[in-house]
Amino acid sequence: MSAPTVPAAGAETTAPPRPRRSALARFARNREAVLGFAVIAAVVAVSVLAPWLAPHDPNAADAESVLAPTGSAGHLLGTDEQGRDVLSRLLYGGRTALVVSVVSVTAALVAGTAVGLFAAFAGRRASGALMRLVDLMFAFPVILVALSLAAVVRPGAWVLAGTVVFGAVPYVARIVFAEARVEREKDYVEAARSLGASEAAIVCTEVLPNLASSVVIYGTSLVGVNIVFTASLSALGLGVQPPDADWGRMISEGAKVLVTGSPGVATFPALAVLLVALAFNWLGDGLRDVLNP
Amino acid sequence: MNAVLTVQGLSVEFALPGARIEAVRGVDLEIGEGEVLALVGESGSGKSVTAAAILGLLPRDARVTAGGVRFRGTELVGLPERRLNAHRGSGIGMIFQNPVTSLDPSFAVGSQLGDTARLHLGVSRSEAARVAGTWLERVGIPDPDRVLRSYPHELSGGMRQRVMIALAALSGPDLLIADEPTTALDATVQKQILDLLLGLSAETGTAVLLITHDFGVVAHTGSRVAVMREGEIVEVGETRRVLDAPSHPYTRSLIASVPEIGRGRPSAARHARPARSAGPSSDEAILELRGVSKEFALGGFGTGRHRTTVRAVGDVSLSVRRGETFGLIGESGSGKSTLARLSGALLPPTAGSVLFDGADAAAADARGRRDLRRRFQYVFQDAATALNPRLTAGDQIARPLVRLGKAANRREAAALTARALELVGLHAAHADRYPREFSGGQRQRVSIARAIALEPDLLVLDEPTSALDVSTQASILDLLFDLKDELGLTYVFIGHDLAVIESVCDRIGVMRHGSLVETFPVDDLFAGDRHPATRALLDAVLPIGAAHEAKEIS
Repeated sequence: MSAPTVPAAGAETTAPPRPRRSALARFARNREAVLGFAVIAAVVAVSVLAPWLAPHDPNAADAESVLAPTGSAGHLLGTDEQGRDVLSRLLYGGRTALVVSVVSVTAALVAGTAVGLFAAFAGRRASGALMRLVDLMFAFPVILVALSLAAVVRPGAWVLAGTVVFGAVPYVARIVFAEARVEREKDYVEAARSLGASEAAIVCTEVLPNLASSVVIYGTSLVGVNIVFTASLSALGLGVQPPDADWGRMISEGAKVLVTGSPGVATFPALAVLLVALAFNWLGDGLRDVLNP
Repeated sequence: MNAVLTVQGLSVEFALPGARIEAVRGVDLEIGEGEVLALVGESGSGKSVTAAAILGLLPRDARVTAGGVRFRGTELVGLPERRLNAHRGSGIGMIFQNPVTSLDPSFAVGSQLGDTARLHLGVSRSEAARVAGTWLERVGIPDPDRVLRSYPHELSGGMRQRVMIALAALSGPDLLIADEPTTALDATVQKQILDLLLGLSAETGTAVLLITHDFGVVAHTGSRVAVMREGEIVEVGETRRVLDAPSHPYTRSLIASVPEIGRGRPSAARHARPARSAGPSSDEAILELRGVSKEFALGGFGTGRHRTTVRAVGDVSLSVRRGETFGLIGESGSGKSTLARLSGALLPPTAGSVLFDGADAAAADARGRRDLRRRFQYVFQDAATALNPRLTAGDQIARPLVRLGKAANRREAAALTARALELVGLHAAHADRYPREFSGGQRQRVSIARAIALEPDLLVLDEPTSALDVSTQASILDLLFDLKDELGLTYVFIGHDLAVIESVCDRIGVMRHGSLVETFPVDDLFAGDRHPATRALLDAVLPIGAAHEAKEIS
């Protein structure tokens, strides 16, 4: 089917080109991307400003008002079992999860991309060995990684980061490997070779730019998934330690009183996790449209 | 005339974000029983949209805004999908350009033909199998039993298109719409497929709407031709009359830009001919191949197949003289492109040696290799894939300049890039555009600019115009030969279109099954003692003018 546009037979004009719309302008017109970005920006701002925004010390227990209901005076979202202010803990609770997810997913993207690219351009043996290693990582239960890490270093942010990286690298490597294999066969790679580019130059300056958008898009959704994942690890006691506030811990502690009249203690952090995870996915989907017009 | 299909005042509009585009404007067509109407036009002229509108297969963002399509007295426009479906397949058959994508890859040919037979002819399963077998014989498949059990990927391109024709014709439609049915095929196969279509039409009285961009195909097949441009039909008439005495200026210019075998290049670029006749400046060889062979290994560990080798190029010896244009022709798969890659040391040969300007490419040190890369450049067939989609045109031209030492720094490279862009008829401001922002012809110009910016001595042109429209092809050929004169280049021109090769080359080499079967000066193309492989290629040419004219030259 021919294109719907109607270039005239002599459309090969030599006139100077018109200016085009920048990627930033396309981003601004993409509702999903803007919404995702706005939510993430708001959550980051609130987390950073938590010391000034929080009405109470997040760890200060108030024996006078245990399990105050949502909307009580002085405790807008109520208090938990130990009488700590839920709103204040909510404001502080995203800090570790956000930083750990973003930083370790970024690390995993760099490592996974390097592995995938190298395997795609290496010889058959090296490539096979590397990708079988990636298969092993796929098969290894991530929760065991977290438990073993927690046995070596103290449970906390480092355990979370190590687990996220271990869990994400094989996925990134697989995707990059598959895409790079496709790119490797394209004519422009051979053209670059005929123009004197070394293998390293072909990988880094020719092929990598063609993978960048899918890596960024995939990485964005990966952050969303890992916000949920780190919350789960903290809920299991492998991540952020008491008494520090964390959405995952808040959910696990609040679960005990979920059906006994205080649903807010677990529900608000759960909603926060959901919202941030969704926002990263929106941003990822939006970026896909912006980067692949 | 008893009209099978009447299209009246058909207009189709695409609603794109921010723009409405009228792809088809007031098209009138009429096809009678047993008639073959060729609808010819360049890409984007709206010919495929017209076909899709007839079948009610327009994409979601397009709609018919005016006019109608009457098929055997029934108005098809506005007909509900279910009633339209009854016409598709049984009343109107469709043959697509690429049978690889239009045959279902996961079903055997027999089951696809059988299903169609049962659906449209209402026959039993065993009867359907018999019908399928007979039809494969009718479309000239020698071993129908094997093909019935085969999956599409197990067949050659020509075979697949035969199956596609059987599939479309089996239900005995009154009208066949063939959208560029031979564009993806080799020239030698193209003629067989066209003759098959013509034979079917004559035999069964099926009307054929043949959509094509190739005037050779028009001359060979259509009893009438309609020329389409920018959504409008500019000229309709008897094929012979339109081709010999076109009345519309657009038709005239289109036909003029088609190279014709035995006539040289008839476009505005006649001035390039004297340069050609001047020929090589000396007998000095710039490129010499001595007994070059290349084998590829297939299968082996991890692929589940035995390790075998395929010989892509076998024992080729050849020398290209400085300043000449050497043409390399042959069917697809004959090893032309592999030979080109071997010549420029993009692939290491399995045996033999390649000498560029007297030096062995394999023995060269790092500096010699860099020098070879700069002096030996390629222009690939499809600039859409040969240019990196994520880099600006300027970057793609400037980077090799710095890398290969042609420019000392980025500033100098940018200046050379601007000069190269202007040399190929583009604007320096095009440097910050991405490949997708160019038209097909402009992209090929960028690709040429990338090669010539390095001031090479030899350019390998690997079918540089086969992805382009004829009018664009003419201007790219003009450009290439202007550049050749200006920069003193040597060309190795790979092609399958003999008319183009004949019009631009000084000497021709013919390849078949990986071997170079003969080389000769272009003027001897029609000599009586040509190799059978060469003659097969010559026979496959579909001339626009009467065939005898071409023979007279010889």
